Amino acid sequence: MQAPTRPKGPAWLLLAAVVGAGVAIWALAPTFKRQAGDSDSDGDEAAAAERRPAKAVSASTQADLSRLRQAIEVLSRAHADLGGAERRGAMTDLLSQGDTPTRLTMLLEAAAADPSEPDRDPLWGEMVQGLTTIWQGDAINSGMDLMFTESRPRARDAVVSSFAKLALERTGELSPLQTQKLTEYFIDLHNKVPALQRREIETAARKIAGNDVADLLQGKGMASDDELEVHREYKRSLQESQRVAAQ
Amino acid sequence: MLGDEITTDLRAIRTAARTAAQSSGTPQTRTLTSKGINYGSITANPNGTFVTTGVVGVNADLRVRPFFAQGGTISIREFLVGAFNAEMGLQSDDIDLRNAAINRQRVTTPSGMILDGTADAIEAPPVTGNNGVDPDGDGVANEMPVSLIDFEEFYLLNYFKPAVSVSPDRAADVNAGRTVFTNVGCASCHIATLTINADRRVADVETVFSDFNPGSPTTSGNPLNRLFATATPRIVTIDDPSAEPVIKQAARQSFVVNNFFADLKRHDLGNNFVERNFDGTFQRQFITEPLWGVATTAPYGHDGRSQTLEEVILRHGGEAQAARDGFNGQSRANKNLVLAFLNSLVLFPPDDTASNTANINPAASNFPQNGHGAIALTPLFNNPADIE
Repeated sequence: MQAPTRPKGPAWLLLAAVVGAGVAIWALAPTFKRQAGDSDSDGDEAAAAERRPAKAVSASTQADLSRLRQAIEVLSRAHADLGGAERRGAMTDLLSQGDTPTRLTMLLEAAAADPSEPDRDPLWGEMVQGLTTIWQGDAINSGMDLMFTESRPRARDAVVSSFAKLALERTGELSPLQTQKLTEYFIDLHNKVPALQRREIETAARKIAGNDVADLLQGKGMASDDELEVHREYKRSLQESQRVAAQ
Repeated sequence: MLGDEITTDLRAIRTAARTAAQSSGTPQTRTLTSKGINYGSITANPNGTFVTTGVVGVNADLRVRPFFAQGGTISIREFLVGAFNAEMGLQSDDIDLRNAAINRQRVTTPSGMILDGTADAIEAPPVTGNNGVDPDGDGVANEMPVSLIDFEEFYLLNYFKPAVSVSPDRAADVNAGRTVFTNVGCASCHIATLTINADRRVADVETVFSDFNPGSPTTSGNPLNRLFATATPRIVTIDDPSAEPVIKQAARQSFVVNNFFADLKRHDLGNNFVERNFDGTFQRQFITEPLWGVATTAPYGHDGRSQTLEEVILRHGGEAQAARDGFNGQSRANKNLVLAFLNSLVLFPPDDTASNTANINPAASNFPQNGHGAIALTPLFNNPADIE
């Protein structure tokens, strides 16, 4: 017999992509050792989906879970005062959850359920900051994929904002490969996200990918009279070649 | 896998439209969208029939067929059995294809592909159910054991993804080129990233640029191609209460397919792409060619008639006319950025590419002819006590 193996990286991140999102029923499978006799049939997949949330938050006590559920319920309601004490208390409860997988799951669930517009929500920044603190080490790689696997728009936007914030404030923590992957994701997502996230991506791209990518994302540099840094470099190289050839 | 999941989504929309039509007693039209890709629309009538004239990019049966330039074949298995016969003269009586195609059954192959003969027109194998028959008359019957088809399907399903080779000194150009590529509209069909909901593979190999650095052989690419691969298992082990070894299966997690650049949809690319078929008809629609590996797959076009990337871009017309004109209207510098980006999408020889499963060994005799590293998947799944 052999000990169960797990894939590299924090598989719990995948939970956040599936809870409430209705995708990838098997996403969490590696986190649990299945028993012989478990079936891959479609019917059992549904049953597995039912079991998953309870498993995922097993690190939290029932009291914790009840409090977090209440917080999500508060945030899911329409409020006249978006910065009021009730909402603030609910957000504080979510952010103070010590178990990281549970915190991520609940933050995304709250983000998805909240009907307020992010750019009018005074708590949006706290939510985004709360997500950003989760992205550490290997979680950065898996978390980046949430920008694509998270299907609930408001939750996806929160993840995008959190990575834009990470790129701006913790640039040095990103490896060259992570920087490249994040740049690619920003470019690919830019025209698929709301205006708020587009602006954040442009600012973050300027920091990690340079002025040309940021300018191009803003629509600059596509017309002949609109110069990018690379255009100036191209002209300089051309002039230098001509100068050498003329000698 | 992407094609299967899209097909499932589209057919679910069709079923929902029919249910709504039957319950309301009026025709119901639904937009066909999956993974952000639009396949037109379908109308269901209360009598259970469908109007499919609005369906675009796939056949009226809503089955995505990813294989061949015209998008003609559903599965790796059909492709394989067909290729063994047509290209090598090896005829297989594949039981899975036979059951799906001839007996109209729903079959799951050992690699987890569902061939649903009740819903799809599956291609039959060249030999069907008569052991000892030798249709090609070469004196050999049973030319392809089913086990070989099983292994080949598994091998191709788990084959290494192409690499993205972006050296630090080219990153600015490559990333700017990717942005221009998106801005001019190329990415509306050549979609960079799609998500698989349930990945049937047992491992993923990600390959990127990594300069040769003999001082850090565990992460260094070799001098042959300056690439380094990370091979990651995507399996779940199932405890077997008997004395038998544990069972390892694909974990079926979601997976983000990055740097793919396709939409699994057929398009009319204009007269420059039209192909005359053997029967005199013209093939006008072709499935979007994924761009991963495109830097190393010249010549270009389904017919290889374009010598360079720029030539094949300028050959686009039809549905791609606006994107083509967008590219052509760019400055020389911007065109070069797009080409720099496309030239970062490369194929590589796995047996000459260093990886986390077989690092370079600069101390090997006759390095790099020896010790250049390789992508070896066996170490991912074996341990000395459990030889597989």
